[in-house]
Amino acid sequence: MPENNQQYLARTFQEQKGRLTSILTYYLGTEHLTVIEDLIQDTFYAALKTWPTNPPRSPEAWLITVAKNKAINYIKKSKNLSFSEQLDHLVFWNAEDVFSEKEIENSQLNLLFACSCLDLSEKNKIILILKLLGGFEASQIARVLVQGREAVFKSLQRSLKNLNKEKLKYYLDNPSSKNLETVNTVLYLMFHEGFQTYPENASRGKDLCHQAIYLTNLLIDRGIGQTDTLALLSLMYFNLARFDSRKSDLGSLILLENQDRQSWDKKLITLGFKYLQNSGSGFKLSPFHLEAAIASVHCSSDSFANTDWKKILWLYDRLIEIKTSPIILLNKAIVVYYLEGPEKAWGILEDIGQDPKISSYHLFYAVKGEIALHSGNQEIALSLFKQALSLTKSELEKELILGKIKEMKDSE
Amino acid sequence: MKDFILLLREDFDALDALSIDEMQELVESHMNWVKELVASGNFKAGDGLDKEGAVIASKSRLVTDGPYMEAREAIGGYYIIQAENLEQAVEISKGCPALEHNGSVEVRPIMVY
Repeated sequence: MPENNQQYLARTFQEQKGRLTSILTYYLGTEHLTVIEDLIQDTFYAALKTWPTNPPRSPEAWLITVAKNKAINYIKKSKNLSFSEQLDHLVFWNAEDVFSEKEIENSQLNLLFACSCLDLSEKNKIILILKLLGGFEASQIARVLVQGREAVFKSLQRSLKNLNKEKLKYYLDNPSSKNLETVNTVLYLMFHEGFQTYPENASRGKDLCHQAIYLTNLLIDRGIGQTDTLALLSLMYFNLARFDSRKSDLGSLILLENQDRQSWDKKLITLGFKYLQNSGSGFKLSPFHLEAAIASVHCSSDSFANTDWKKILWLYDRLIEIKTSPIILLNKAIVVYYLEGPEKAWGILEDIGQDPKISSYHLFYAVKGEIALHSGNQEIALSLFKQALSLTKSELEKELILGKIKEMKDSE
Repeated sequence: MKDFILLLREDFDALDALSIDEMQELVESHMNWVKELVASGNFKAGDGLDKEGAVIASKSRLVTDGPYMEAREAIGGYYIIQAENLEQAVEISKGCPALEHNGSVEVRPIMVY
C-alpha cells in the first residue's frame, strides 16, 4: 500500500472532475451535461466505497474506466438511438485507447473552444470554463471571483442552457483565428482573475492561474496556439514568478516597490523569457507581446530603483497604439510618475477619470491618492484614499490603505 | 481476538451534498483509517455497498427497489475488525470516518459457537 495518500492522490478530484467532464462531453454531447454530472458523482461515490479496502494502482485510470463504464450503462439504458455510434465506439475499445491522455486533452480543448465561442459576457465564459474544465464548484468560483454565490449559480444556469442548445461541435477540426483570439482572451482573463484575487484565497487563486497556464500550454502543444498564444504564456510565467512575493509572512500586502526580488521564481522567469523569445517568430505584434515585454523588464531588473522606466514607457506607448483601456492608461500614468514626476502623471489621470468604466475601480483612486500625496496635496490625497477604501472588496487592501492614512496623520 | 462487524449507516442525502473537496477528504480519511487498522492488526475485511439494490418483503415476497428511500440512513458499507472485546471494538469504531458525515456505526460481535 502506498506510503502517503496525499502523494497517492496526486491529481485531485477537482482536476479529475474537469477531465472527466471534458471527455464525457466529447462523447455524449453538451446537451447531456446534467447526466454527465450525475455519472461523475456516481464515479466518485464508487471511489469512496471501494478505495479504502481496494486502493487502485492508478487512481486516474480507475476513475476514467469507471466513468466510461457508467457512461456505457447509461447509454444502454436510455435506448436513445442517437447514441448508437458512440456506444460502438465506447464498448469495443479499451478505456486506455478511447479515453487516452491525448483524447482527454483534445476533449478539453474542444470544450474550451465551445465555451469561449458562446455568445456570453467574458465573466460568464470564465465562470463556465472554471465549472466544466476546472471542476470548480459554484461556491469556489464565487470565492475566487469575489462574487455572490447566487450570482454565480444563476450565471451557470444561463450559460449551461446556452451550451445545451449549441450541442458540441468539433471546434478543433477548424479553429478559426477569430475563435483562437477569443480563447486567448478568456485564458488571459482567467489568469488575471486568479492573480488579482490572490491574497485572501491564495491556493484557489493559484489553482486558477495554473489551470489557465495548463490550457494555454495545451493550445501550444497541439499546434493550435499562434505567436500571440506564446506571448500570453510568457506573460503568465512572468507574473506567476512573483505570485507569492506579494504577501508578507504576517499576511499583509507588499507592493512591487518593496517585494523581495530574490524570492521571485527564477525558473518561471526563465520560462517567461523562453516563450517571449519564441513568440517573436511571427509578424503579428499582439497586446500580449507588449504586456509580456513589460513584465520581462520588471523581472530582469535587480531592484525597483534600477527599473528601466524609459523602456517600459516606450512599451506602454506601443501597447496603447494597438489596444487601449483606462487600466492600461492608469498603468502608464504610474510609469510617467516615476519617470517625469507627479504633475505629468496627474494630467493623464485627470483625462482617464472622465471614463465611467474607471470610476468604480478602487486602484484608480489609490494611485491618484498616492500621486496627490507626493505632490504635497494632503487633503486631496486623503479623500482619494477614502474613496479607494470604500470601493475595494479586499480586506488586505483595506488594511494597506488604512496604513497609508494612518501614516499621513502621524506625520502631520 | 474476536471478530466484529461494523455496519455503516450513512445519510445518503448528506453524501450527495458533499463538495468535491469534502468527497476527496472522506475517501482519504477512510483509506487512512483502514491503513491504521491494518497497521495495528485489527483489520480483517470491508467493502462498500452500491446505492442500488432490492428489498424482499416477508410473506408476500414482494420485491421493491432499494435503497430504502424512506429511511434517511441506509447501510452503505461494512468493515470486519478484530478486537479483544466489545469495548475495544467500540473504541476503534469511534474513529470510523462515516461518523463525520451524519452516519452511524453499529458494532456487532460475529457469533462464535
